[in-house]
Amino acid sequence: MWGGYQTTQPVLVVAVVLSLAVGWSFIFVGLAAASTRPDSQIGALMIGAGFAALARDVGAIDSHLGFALGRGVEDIAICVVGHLLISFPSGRLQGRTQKAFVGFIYFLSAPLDLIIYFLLSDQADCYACRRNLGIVHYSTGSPTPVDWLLMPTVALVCAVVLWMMFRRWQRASPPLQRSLGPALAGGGLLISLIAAQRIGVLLALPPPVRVVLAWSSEVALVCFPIGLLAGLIRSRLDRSAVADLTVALTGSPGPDLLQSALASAVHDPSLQVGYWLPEQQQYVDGSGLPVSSAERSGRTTTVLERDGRPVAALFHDTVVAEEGSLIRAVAAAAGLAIENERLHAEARAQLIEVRASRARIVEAGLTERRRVERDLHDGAQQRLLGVLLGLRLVRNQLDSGDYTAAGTTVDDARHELSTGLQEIRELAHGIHPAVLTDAGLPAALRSLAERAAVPVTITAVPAQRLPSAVEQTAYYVVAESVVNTVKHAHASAVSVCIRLDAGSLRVEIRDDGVGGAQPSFGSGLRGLSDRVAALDGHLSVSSTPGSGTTVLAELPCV
Amino acid sequence: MLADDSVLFREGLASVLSAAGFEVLAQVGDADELMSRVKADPPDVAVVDVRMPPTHTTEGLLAAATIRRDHPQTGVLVLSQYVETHYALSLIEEAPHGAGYLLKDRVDDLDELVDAIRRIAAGGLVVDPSVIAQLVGRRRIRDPIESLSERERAVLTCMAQGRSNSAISSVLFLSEKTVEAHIRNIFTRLDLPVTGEDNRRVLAVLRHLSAER
Repeated sequence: MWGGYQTTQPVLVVAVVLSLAVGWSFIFVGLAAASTRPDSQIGALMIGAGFAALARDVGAIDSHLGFALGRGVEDIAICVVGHLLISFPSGRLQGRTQKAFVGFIYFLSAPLDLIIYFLLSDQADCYACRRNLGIVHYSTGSPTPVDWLLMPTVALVCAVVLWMMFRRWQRASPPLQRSLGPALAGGGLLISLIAAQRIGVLLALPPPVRVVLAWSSEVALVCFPIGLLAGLIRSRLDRSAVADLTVALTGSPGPDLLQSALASAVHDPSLQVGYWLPEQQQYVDGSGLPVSSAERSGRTTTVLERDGRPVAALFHDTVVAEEGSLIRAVAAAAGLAIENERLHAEARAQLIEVRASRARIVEAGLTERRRVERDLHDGAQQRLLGVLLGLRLVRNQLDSGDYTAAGTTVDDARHELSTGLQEIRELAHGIHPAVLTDAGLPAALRSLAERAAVPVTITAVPAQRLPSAVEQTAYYVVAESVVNTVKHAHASAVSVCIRLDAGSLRVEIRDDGVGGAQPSFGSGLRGLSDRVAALDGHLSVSSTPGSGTTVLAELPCV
Repeated sequence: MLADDSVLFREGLASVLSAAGFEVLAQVGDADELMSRVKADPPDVAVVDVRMPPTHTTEGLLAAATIRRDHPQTGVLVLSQYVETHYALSLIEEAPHGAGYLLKDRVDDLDELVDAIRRIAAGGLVVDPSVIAQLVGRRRIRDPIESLSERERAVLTCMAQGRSNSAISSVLFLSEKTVEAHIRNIFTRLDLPVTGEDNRRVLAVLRHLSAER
């Protein structure tokens, strides 16, 4: 007998085998998953589902208590599977909605089953009859009112689970989709079968059809863990991708090919390689342009190191990081090629920077020429014109015999010329102080200190002459820094210290002002940095708000 | 004797100085010619432009140093376009007598120019007021010059230019006694050794002003 139907011995055997197979397949695959992905709770959930599936068979014990217990735990397994599908692959529920929904699913299992068992057992359809082993959902002819209430709810829950899985799939990145694939497909089939079986009860389909449906969902339950296992094995098989990568990277692959080879090895088309530039303290791509290394959700950065120093970073989907050993293997295989590309990227980045700084230097030169032209036009030229007019006037005054007026006009013209001379002198000094060429840095810096609008102390400066480009740049760095201090720092003193140290000139300008200077902003500091870089030097600015600004330029001078 | 590579400036200066009662022995256009003419007939004062051919850098200053080494009896007035303490000091420090550093603009003020040449011929020191103004006006962290009164600062400036006590008293319309009192006060404030000799006094003041503190 099978739920009121005549059954044969083989059918019963099949039912027993299926029921046990469901439990054990979940338990074994759960154990495998727990050991491969210790940070995921999926393994634990699967083991739970396996034991819950086995617990159903308590109902086969020939006693009222056994039947009641079996009846109570009957649906727990399927609920755990639902929980598992919703939380796949981390095994953790996210957000209140998911938690509330899973809670509701669990309520539909044991608690509701027991309520129905105790309250509605005296009703028709033999709920309290002892049942045979292996029947997932026995039933008689037509659906009961309880069925009408329960079955649509279950079907609806199934639909919601399917919808959640679909959304999860939709939102997933390609590598995550790949890892979700077998689980979600199997789960989808399983849930659909359960829903179909419940609807079958309502539609009062012929019993043979319903029994087939019930069995199908059992078969699906057996197959589902095997599908998951296949997924796990598949990711293990990906290790062969490392070998393919090694082959792809022989020779000099170039940045694009390297990136795509790495991307296909870890199955993440969105993978990006950033090469570390220690000088600029940032990552750049193969063409030398900066790559943002900011944290983003769903993205993970794996830093590749060589001898303890960062060489490059892989910016990839978070799911790739779950297979830490794969990405390490990929990184090891690609190490040499990455280091190679890093050097290329560094050269390209330097080229980009050199081009930009060259353009800025040219632009700064043009701006300076425009300023000189304007100053000459507004200053000296106007004064000379004034003198010309004055002389014209003197001529008239002399013609008319007005010697007193002529004398006054000449005095005016002399005054005008003398002011003009002063202006030209200052302008010429600003363009290039002659004393720097004639007498070198000490004299030029002393002159600069005498003219500065803030007390400037020169604590050290090498007495010997240096290459003229070095002297000029050092002078320019000091002059520009002092101008910046006067303009922005509200400082009460500036000290300048210049030392020749192991073939490089260290120019340090320190003020006691407000600080907070930003090297990236303001064309002044940028221009300084360009001038210094043009001599293969390096400029650094440290300027913490409240503790003054220090500009340090290091100029190689051999 | 005049040395300047601009003929117009040279001729103009020569005619102005002749009119003021000086005898212009020679006008030359470069340092080499200047040296040979000074050697042949040393003048009382040589007026030299800083920049001259061939390199147009500091030929005038070099020539001035040579003249003062080889012909101590010849005073040198260097005319310059630059307000640079370095040039003025390097001229004076080597031998603090009979030397001067003036801006070319001063040719406009004939009285001052004539006075300067006469003082140099007499072995005095002359430094351009704008150079002194720059030195006096320099911002210092602890500035003893700030503690001087305005009048004292004026006296200090005159002193640094190389003027004698009587010259200072006539420029600032003060009695010589007042000037002396001011000078004593300045030397105390700036912690300078008191010296009666004018040129030593100029040098002391200039060194004090240009010292790096």
